[in-house]
Amino acid sequence: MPLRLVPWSPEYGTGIEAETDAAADDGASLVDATVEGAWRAMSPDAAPVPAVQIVDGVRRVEAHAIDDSSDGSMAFGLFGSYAVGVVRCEGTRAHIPDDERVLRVRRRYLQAGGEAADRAVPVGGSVLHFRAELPAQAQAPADLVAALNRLMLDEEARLAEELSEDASTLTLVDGPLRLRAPGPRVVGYVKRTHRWYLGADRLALLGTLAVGERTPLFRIAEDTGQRDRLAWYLRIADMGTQFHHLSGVVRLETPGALPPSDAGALADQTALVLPRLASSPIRDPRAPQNLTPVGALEQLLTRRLGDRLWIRRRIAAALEPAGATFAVAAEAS
Amino acid sequence: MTTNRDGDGTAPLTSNLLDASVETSTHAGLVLGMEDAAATPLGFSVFVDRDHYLQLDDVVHARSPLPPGSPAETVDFYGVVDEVRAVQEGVRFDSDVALASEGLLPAEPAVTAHVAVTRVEPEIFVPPRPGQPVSLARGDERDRALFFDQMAERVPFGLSRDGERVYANLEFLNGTRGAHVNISGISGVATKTSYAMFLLHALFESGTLGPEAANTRSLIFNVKGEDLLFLDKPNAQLADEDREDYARLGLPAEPFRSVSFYAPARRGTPAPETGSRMDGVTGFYWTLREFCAERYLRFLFADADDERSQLGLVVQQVEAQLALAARLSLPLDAPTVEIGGEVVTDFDELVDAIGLMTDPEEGGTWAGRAAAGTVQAFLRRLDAAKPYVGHLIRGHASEDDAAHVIDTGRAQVTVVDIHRLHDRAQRFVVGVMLKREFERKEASGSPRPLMLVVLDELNKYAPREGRSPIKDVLLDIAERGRSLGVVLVGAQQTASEVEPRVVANCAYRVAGRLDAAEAQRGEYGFLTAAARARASLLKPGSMILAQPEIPVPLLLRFPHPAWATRPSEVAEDEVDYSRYELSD
Repeated sequence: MPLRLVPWSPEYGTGIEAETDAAADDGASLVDATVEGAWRAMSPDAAPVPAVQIVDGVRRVEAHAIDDSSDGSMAFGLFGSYAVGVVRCEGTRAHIPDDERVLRVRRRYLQAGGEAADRAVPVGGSVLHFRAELPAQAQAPADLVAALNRLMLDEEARLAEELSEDASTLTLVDGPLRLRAPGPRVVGYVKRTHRWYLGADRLALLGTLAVGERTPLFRIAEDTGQRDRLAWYLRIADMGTQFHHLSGVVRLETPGALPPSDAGALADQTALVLPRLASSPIRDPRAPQNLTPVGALEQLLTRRLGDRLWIRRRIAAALEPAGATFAVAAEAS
Repeated sequence: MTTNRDGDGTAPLTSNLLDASVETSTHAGLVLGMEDAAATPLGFSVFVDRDHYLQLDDVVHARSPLPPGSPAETVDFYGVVDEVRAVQEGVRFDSDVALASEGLLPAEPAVTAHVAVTRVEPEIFVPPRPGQPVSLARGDERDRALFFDQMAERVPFGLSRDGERVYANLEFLNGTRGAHVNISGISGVATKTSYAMFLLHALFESGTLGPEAANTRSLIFNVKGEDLLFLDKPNAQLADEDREDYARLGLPAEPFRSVSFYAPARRGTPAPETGSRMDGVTGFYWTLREFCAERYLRFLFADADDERSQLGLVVQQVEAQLALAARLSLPLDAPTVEIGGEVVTDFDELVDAIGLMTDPEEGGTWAGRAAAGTVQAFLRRLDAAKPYVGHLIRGHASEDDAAHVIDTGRAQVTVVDIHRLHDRAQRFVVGVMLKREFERKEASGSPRPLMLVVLDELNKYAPREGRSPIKDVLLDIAERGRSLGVVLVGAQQTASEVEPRVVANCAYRVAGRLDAAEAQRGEYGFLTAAARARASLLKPGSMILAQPEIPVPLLLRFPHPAWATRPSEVAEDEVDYSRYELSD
């Protein structure tokens, strides 16, 4: 077997994190791979590239904290920010709607137990409101980080649900589909593979896909809290022979309730639109899976979170007892 | 609203222009405060609204709050846009622009403008606070930005690119606080002379001079072509846009009302040596008596070669002898002089007489103890001048010799055509005229009315290196003319070749299109870096004006001449001769 690289920058992991043991079931037992007939490479008929909107979010831990309650117990706290938004690619224009209804920045103060209060942090001429939440069953700081991530994903899902009501455009959501009320043309975009859902015989097809070709649909039955979905693999980029052949492939999902013919049409549309959006390793450490417009959206959302060091200092200043600030001011004057 | 809101006596604006000036300000953007675009009291950047634009030369205003308890609540910043730049936000690599154009990468253009601050009011030099709104300055705000509000008497010197008047302060032109204009620019586009003539027109017609305008005089030498020989004729090819520009400036789109033209007298006759223009031109020459009595001999030795030689002393001694001879020649009103007992009747005879009186070999004594070689050089050069200037210095040539003396008092504008004369004769005429006018003003004892002298090719008449009698007169004008009411409107291709003292005394510096290398020279220190760069791509009709009260140079344009500059532009049937003082 030749040795080939995984294109992702190592700090982001590998992107392919499924079991590699061919003997492992890897979820294949949940799958019906006969939805679109024979297992073969499929490429869509030529058609205009559809408009697409992609929802994504970023999150950031601003500061960890410890709250000492009067009874002597300690509770971990976390100041976190997250932002979700959408980037629209339509014809020759890609843009990020800059409107607080679609570009949402949120601040939260999460605490593992005890009693949490909202925290107002004055910054320059305005105030950042960190709304208090007590995530269930959270104890360690890592639980709070996970909770923050969940909050972001929830917000992403809400935004995607609202935006996907517009049937004129394809809506792409980051990660496995977890929308409760998805619109008619929603596709989940899985860039980090945890399970292949296919046996080795079928998986072999992925290595032969050309850019823009996809596998037939396969149905993933309800499992670990997720409803059943129709999924397909698509090659969005050819990374060259020095990289592993699975590294240019992504999995896409759409609700299982969709008629297979509609799901097939959506799959064809993704095959038309996504290879164009695949990022180059020059500009993105998670190329090609982290799509070019999504990279730009993440950049903008991160900028909207504000300067990290500065916010951290403002949080520290806000926690300082008021008297101390006055004392300093009095000394200065 | 038919009265002029400026109250400066200029003609009223047309109503639609006035409406435009009623609008006081327009939002344009926000003060930027980035590490590489920090706001300072002397300059700041503006993030330009996506719905608006700022262009070079726009005049802007920003107001910034001060902390409570400060001497003022706010500080007003006024300035002029001197740079605009656009970037694509959201791109990291050069090739991203292609991705953005293909609709794969969201990227929004961001335009910023840099503002050179002209005025801070009150003078609390803090930086404007980032985030404060910036607006286009119109009306009174614009006047404040450009200090027009502080100019009690102002003259329109052109239009800004947005069609608003650019004023100059009369006090810096008429000698009260300064004087003189210097214009630089490459030749071939005729802009320097056109602009000088436009300035005269503005000065005479704007009403700023008041009743004094009628008596204000100007002297212009027509050096090249026949451009200036039709100043009194309307330009038949003047476009409507130009007429509108004149209206905006509050100036009539009309030729000069009062012009007299002089051309060298033709050999053997007092009639003028003219080209296309036949009528209304007077032939000029000087009498031998005037030449001797007024010591004009030195101006025959104003060539570049002469400037470096040792002839000065001989010339001075001979001049003194000629002046003495003129005083002793009778009758006193005769145009001729008597030298060594002989009546000299023309220039050739004068040269021969001077030879006899000066050459030691002939027993001449006028040269005193000067070396024989120097005397010979003097005589050789004097002899060589005969074919070029002989016809300009005459004995008895007409019944009325006085009528052929150039009289700058006859009309507002006196044009002396020297373009057909040899270089040596040109220098003689220019030198004599400058000396005469300067001495006349000096003798009159009053700086008013003004005498404006327009002189192109200053680099020839007042070169950076060497000495010459003309340069001496020009230095005198530059340094003392201010108090005597003699204003020099000088022009040259390259200011770096002109005597620095002449240029340094000019209150107004104007640059037309400059050679790119020339624009980098120290003489153009009045231009900002951005203005220097632009000076090499200015179109005819555009100038950069630096004036004493405004810390940044302003780009301005001026309309095409309302007067004809060549025969084909003369609208003969429109000429109302009764309007003009014809000189013959």
